[in-house]
Amino acid sequence: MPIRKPWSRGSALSTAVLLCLLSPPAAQARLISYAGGWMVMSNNDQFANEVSAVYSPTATTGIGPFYDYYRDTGGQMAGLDFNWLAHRWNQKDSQGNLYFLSGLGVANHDGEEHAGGFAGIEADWESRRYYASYENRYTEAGHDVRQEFQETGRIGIAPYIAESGSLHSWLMLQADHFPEDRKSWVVTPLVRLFQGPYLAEAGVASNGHPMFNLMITF
Amino acid sequence: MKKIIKNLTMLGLVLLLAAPAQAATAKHIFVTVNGLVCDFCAVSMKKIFMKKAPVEAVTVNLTTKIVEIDLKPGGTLDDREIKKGITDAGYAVVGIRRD
Ligand SMILES: [Cu+2]
Repeated sequence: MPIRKPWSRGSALSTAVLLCLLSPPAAQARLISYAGGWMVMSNNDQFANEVSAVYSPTATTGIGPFYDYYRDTGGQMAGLDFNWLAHRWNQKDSQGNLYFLSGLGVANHDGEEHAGGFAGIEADWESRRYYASYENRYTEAGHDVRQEFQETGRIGIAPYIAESGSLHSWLMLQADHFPEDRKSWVVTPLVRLFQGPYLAEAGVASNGHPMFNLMITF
Repeated sequence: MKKIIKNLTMLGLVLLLAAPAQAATAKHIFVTVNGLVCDFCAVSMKKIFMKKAPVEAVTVNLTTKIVEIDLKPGGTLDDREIKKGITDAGYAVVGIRRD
């Protein structure tokens, strides 16, 4: 008999209900903008394609619509994201963040609809030279759409220090871990380019699949 | 002696009147901010302060962590409003200098 993981379906779901929070499926820092700000993003990897928008009524909250397409099942989910910046550490040369992420929506597979959602935690730290983040998320959208726990870690280094308004470049390494069904790791080296309100990321995973992310803030 | 006291009083009066007047008419405000690490931070600072009527320009220096706010002629912006703007953007104010 398999031993249940600490983040079993039941405990993850009750945590989701408790926190009343849910999240987008691709690893991203900056889930919340300044008070009154908007962000629009698209995240694409071998598992999912996602488009979402987040409006921040305050500097610690974000809400907005999302649409996800899960490539392996062909299922989809559309709904609303709720992000909460639980704490930010503003230091002289660095910034750290702790977010709770969540999303609630309608999952759809071949026209069959049911409720779905996700919940997770994201922590990140960055200076102008180094970057590190960890995110986990449990998605509960039925086995026909997506039912999975995923952990994502990232480290990054900026080869040069750019001033505001000029092009910022990052070399990053992302690791995705699927402890449940897939029992696998995927490692993705990627490049992040960042200038003013635009951020783009592109990489190729260890199994050959491309990854592409875009983010605009306004 | 009387003259010296009179002159000192006058000088004091001038300084007293000049100090707040100088603060109110300062054209450049330099705000030192903690947590500024990337261009999104810089964009946030610009968006928050460019919305304010007396502000002419905002420049962010990620190396010195200083946000420079340039005011329009006759424009004023008090410390409380600056602190609120930066806190609303999610950052922390370390100091405010005017000249
Ligand atoms: Cu930033």
